[in-house]
Amino acid sequence: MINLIPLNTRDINYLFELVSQRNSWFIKLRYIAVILLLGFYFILLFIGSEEFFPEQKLGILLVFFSIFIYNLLLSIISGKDVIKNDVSAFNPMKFALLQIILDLSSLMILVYITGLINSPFYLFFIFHAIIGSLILPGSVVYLLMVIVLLVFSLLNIFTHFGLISEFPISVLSSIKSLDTYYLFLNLLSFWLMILLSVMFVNYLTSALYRREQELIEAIQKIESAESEKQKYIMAVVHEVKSPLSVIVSYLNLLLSGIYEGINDNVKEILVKMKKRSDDAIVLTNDILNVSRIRQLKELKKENIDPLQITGNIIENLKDKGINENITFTIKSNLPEGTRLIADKHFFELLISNVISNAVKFNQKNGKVEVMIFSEDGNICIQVSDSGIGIPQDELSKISDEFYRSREAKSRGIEGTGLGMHTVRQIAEKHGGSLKVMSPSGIGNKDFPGTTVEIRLPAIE
Amino acid sequence: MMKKKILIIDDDSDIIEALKLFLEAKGYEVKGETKPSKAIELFNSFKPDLAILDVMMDEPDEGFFIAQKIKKINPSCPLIIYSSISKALGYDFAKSEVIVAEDFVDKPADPNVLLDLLNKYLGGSNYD
Repeated sequence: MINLIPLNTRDINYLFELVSQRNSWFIKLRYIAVILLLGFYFILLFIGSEEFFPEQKLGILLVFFSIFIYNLLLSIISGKDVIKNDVSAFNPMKFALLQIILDLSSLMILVYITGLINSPFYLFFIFHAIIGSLILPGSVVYLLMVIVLLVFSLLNIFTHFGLISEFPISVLSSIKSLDTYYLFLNLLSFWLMILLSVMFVNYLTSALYRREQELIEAIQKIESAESEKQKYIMAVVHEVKSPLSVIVSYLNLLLSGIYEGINDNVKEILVKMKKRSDDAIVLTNDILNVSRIRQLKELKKENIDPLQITGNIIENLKDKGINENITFTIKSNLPEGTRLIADKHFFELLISNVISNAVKFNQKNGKVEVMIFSEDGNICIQVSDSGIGIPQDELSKISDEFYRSREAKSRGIEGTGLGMHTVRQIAEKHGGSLKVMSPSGIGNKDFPGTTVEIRLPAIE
Repeated sequence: MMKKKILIIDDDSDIIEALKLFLEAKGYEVKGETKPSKAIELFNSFKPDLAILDVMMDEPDEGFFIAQKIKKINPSCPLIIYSSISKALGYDFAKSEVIVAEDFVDKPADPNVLLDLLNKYLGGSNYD
């Protein structure tokens, strides 16, 4: 048996998914067709039931019920595990073929009992030729449509020459039977119409499909190149970090006070070396973090308590004595035990970066206020400070890679320009967002302050 | 009185040396090993009170295999993972259930941070 898979298929699962979607769409569409058919039946009855053949009345109702019932069965089948995404099994392509065969048969019966070439329904064959071409391989559609054309033509010829009975709808057409030449001309143009439809739609569909596949492949290539790039950066930075770690370790040793004979001049230089080496270590760590986030395909998500983690990070900062003069307040209106589904390590890094910034860019005896609340299905964390603030024209750039604000540079506040970038990357990786606002509302004229707002979806 | 014994396993001999000199000055007996294959042998003969080890040696998670082996030999020996791959890279390992280490310190650490950890796990005294 032919496997129905077009020759230019590259990703079979993608094809099956696409056809499955279209299959369920056709099932819905068919219910509409059934309703319209019933409507047509009643309109005909209303116009003049006495002009109907009894076969017509019975036939239309029969077609109506059979379409309705097989559509019901098809929708049940499509919901079950009967259809498998497997070339040899009963797959979505075969399911599509089954549907089109059922539809063409019903339509043929309907067309026959409503007058064949005089029936208003026979044009629907063109519709099926197009639909079929959208899904099935060209050869299959040509075969189906040639069978339809042959049956349709033969039925027309047989009725024309009185070999079988015909059922024209006399209320819709005064023409009882067509002139022979006219009939053949009509049939010929119908043949052409169907075959050309199949040809064009098939050609366009396969060209479109090929383009789509090429696009998907191109995107995949870009993604894997990006991941390779990040891996390369990580490897290089790690290689740089190893000797740096050794240098810092030796500097730590020299500065630990276990050696006598290091005079103050030498010590001063060693302290400077240590300072610069520590900065370099911070930079390597920041780059490693950014690359790691970018390279990660999936986060290790778990249930975390945002309030508790934020509290811990502030406590840790206090323990280190980095921010003795800063007053911290945490407010939360989250219900007790509200959890956030996030990667704990990266969430900690995010909060820690934001709070470190709020401290680093603050004034002496400054304030840091943390507000945690839920809004529109998001958990919002707002960190406001009474620090130097960010000029309006820099707000949108502050989370760009390696961007450092003029104010920070002119005040000689050090940084890698990766802190807020890391925060944005982490927030976005979680499907959230970052917003930076200044002034914060808790600063003053000289220190307008900054508010950083992170929104993360609360529920998956 | 016996000095408390520290084993350092790291593929970088300079890291071992810097740490060894510092810890020895602080009154510990320290031995180091750069080859993962010899680390267990040394652990058995030296019988350290605490081990400090890197996670990324010749193979990415070699350090973790060593950690597991050490914990099998002596479950009560505290282990400190001391690695420059930091949490950014080492997170995959660091979050898995197989980690048996007591602590995880980013390399390079302030020597006083390490000293505090040694005090924490070895009870303050440098001597048995």
